[in-house]
Amino acid sequence: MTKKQILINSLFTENAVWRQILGICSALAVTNLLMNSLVMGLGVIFTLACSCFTISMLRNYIPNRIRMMVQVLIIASFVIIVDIFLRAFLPNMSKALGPYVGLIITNCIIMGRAEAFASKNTPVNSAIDGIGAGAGYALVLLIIAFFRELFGFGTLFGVQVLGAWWTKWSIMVMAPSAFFMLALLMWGVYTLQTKAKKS
Amino acid sequence: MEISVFILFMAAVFTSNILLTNFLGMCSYLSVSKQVESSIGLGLAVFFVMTCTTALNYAVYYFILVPLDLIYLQYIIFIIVIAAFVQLTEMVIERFSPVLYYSLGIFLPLITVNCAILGVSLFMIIRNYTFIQSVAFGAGSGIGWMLAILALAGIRERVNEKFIPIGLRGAALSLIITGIMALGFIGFSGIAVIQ
Amino acid sequence: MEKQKIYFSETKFYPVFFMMVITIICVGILATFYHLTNKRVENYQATQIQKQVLETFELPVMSVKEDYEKYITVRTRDNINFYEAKRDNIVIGYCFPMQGSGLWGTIRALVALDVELSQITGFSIIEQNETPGLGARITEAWFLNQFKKKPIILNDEIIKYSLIPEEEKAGIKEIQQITGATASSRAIVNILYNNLVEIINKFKNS
Repeated sequence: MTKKQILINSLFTENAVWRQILGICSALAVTNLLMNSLVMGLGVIFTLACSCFTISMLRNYIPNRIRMMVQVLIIASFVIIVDIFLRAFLPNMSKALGPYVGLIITNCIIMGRAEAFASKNTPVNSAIDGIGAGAGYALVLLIIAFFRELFGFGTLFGVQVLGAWWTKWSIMVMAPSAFFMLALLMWGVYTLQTKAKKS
Repeated sequence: MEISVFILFMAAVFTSNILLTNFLGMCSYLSVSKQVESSIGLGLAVFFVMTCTTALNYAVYYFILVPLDLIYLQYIIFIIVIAAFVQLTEMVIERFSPVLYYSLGIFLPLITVNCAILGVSLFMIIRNYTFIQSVAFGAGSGIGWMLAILALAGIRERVNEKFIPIGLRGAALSLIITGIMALGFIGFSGIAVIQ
Repeated sequence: MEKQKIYFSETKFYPVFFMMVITIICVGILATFYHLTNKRVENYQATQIQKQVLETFELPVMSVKEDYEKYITVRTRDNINFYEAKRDNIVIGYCFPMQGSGLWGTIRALVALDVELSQITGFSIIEQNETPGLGARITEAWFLNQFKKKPIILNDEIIKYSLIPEEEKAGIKEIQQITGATASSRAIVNILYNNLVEIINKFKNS
């Protein structure tokens, strides 16, 4: 597969969230604000790219028995780097994202891509695949956050867009809306895909 | 810390449910909830692992990481503790009760990457709980998670997917059901004692 | 006779060795990162507190460090650390840090009082872990601003504010609670009361 094909594949065709149903936990937790989603998305892209690259580089040396543990170790290390970086340079973000940064480790997407792709392909390709998967994930986050922030707070990225005439939909601020929004997104994507397949 | 242990436990089960309010543990929740029977198995396993690892991680954090100024390694250490504990449990169950081992099957390894388990440990640290509070919080969260997956399994077994639009079947439907459950659980916050 | 060559990577020892090596490398890299950024994080946290003290006093903040040095002095009395604000060498108020338990963890806050310790002039939350969307709304401006200009003592007794629903109008002794977050609202009122009792009793003689 060409590099472009790899990217498109992990970003759209085999999108981690709506296709493989992975990484849902944080996809729901941080989507109440666009800024949080953006930072989380970038963090996941960084972790995915670096972890997949490293794991792919070591793929011929890792003994099979401890494969999972080594992968978790590498992923966790990169997540800690992201966490340290946030704490030092974007402390407000660090507080807002809270424990969900640490939960990137258990984000099934990363383990999934590491197992499925990185352990069988060259480093550069794995990194591209990782970036694609991360970008696909970030895309879903941003779409959901767009609606949740707009209807729940009337703002986009903190900038007031809807004036005072808008009654804030407080359900958008709370947990259930994330579930509904993600379900609607999946519905939309599946319907579009089935239509594309039929035509 | 004056929070009553009982209130903490009840809040962890209902008003601050680890899955319906904090969105943790969704992956295995969505994939295993097709049948009530397997959900009971997974739910109990998660409850057991969650309670024990919360206690273990508390000890590791306050007796090892803090005195050695290694707090920034907490993610790695917690995950290793969880993975090791799950591995140990698997070996113990396999030795003492092969029947149970075969019925649990793939659930145990699946639990290691369950974000809820790591999440509970992380929350406990952030909120500065004492040991008893941590255990109550872990147990409560486990029960809350089990409650959620049981409820979803019970509903999914009865849903006739013929009437649902194609695009909405499967995961999307589960999410909507979960959303409605989450709405329902918010109603618990009206009980003044808890929140 | 053929000599069988055994590669190191095939021995039983290799996985353990590999694990140890990679753990050491990872931890080493992380430790480096951590120590490089540690000072920065600590600096930031100290500056945050300073900024918050200034804001609770409602003093203008242009540069946190300079303004803090210009206006604020930290003092101690009877084991209580507090902040004294001076403008043009005249004391304009005192600010006390306080803490107590909320529903989900410790809540830390700052309360600013006027010079006679009779009225609240500012109230802000440093740290809280309440439920997002519910209890966490104690950080919202409308909730905290209710405390401004509230007297502390009525009829020689320190007031313990009572909570009323969000839509009703609040009297002198009342605070509008956050809908759906009774416990967190009550926690704030309790923390305020308990700490004020301690402060007023210790400072009664000045």
